[in-house]
Amino acid sequence: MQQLKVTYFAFPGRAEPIRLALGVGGIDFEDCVLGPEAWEEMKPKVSPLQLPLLNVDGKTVSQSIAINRYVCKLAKVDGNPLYPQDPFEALLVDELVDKVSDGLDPLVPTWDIEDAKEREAKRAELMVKGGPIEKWAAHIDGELAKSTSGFALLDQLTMADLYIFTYVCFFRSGKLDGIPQDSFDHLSHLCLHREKIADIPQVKVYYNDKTFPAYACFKSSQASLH
Amino acid sequence: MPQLKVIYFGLPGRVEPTRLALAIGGIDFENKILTSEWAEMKPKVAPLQLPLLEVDGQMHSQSLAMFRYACKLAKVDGKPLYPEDPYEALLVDELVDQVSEVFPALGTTFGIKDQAEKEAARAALVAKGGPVEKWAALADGKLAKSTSGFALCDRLTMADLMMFVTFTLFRNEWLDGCKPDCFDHLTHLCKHKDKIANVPQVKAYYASNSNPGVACFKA
Repeated sequence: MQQLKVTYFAFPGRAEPIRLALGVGGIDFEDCVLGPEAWEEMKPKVSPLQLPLLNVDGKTVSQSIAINRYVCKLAKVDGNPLYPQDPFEALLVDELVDKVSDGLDPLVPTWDIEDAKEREAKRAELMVKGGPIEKWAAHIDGELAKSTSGFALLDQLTMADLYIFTYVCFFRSGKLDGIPQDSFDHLSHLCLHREKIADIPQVKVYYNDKTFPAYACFKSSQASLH
Repeated sequence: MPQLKVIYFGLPGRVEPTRLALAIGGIDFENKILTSEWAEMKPKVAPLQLPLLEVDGQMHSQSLAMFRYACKLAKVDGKPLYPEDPYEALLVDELVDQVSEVFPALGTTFGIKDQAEKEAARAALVAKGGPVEKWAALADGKLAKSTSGFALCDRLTMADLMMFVTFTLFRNEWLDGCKPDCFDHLTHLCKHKDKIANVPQVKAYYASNSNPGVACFKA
């Protein structure tokens, strides 16, 4: 097995599906956490590459979804890799992952809004029924509604489930001013999916030891393993 | 082999790499060119947006997802355009996503109403260090390390097609404000364009295509 190192900030963000896939697949990796100053120092050396970065046996690779797809080929649950080998099944996963990943895009410009009230107001617009983020969530909810198993696709855990889980938990974390924790409560399949993934034993174990407040939103609602 | 239909307007857009991959692989597909039918079709497929790939009657969206699928089906010299080895695939996926970074920046310029302002915004994209040029320069840098002239794995891959189509779009008259010589300083990228245009299957695909929108891809 290759030596893997994931480099990102201390919070979940775009690296979380990667770290989670490695954790769920039981694959050892070095979790290299950078503070903002360390990143500012590193940035010009790797430009135009952005975080997260994956180091594979000394070679640095970028692009969060590319990295995620790679680790999901290595990570297996019940003998099945998280990224399907069948091209058509993989198309379904890739299509849904790209749709989920796009969900963050309307939020990104709001990080630069300095005035808190203005930022919250802008975010509220995104979350209102029919707003870009609510619409995105409603679409994902609709896709989940088609599943009998409760997994997003193929009646098994895939890369798509990890993306949906991490992104939905992030939006519901209460850490984004202007975005209330109950924002997606009206989307029942999304809520059920969140509980289902959080309760998967390997996911539960992965988040059990994480005490950093940013990770609280991923923990199972049920009693912890301790 | 599934029944495939690529659905888009008569432009390269973001689906041209998929059309090209299927053609290179000798895979039959219906190239559905939309004109006025999109208005009627749109509510039926919403919220899916163009381009679309219909696989055995089922609609799929997301241009990179469909392109990756096409590259798994399409083989050249017995090897699929999308590597089966996970690490090789990682390098290809990384480069494809890096090239794809140019689209959000380009997208912002389409809404600019004032022509002079639009052209200035476009020129800024391809100026040295600009949001498009920096990725072209990165691609050029990767090509510089290649002995074969292919971007990765010393053979034709999804990454070569992505670079060929995407960067050529900026090097022709189609985008006002972008001059055809905008990437002439990126010598490896220029050589790469000619190399891919002259791959027999690519040459054959464009030789018989009379659509003016794809003239820039001809050898």
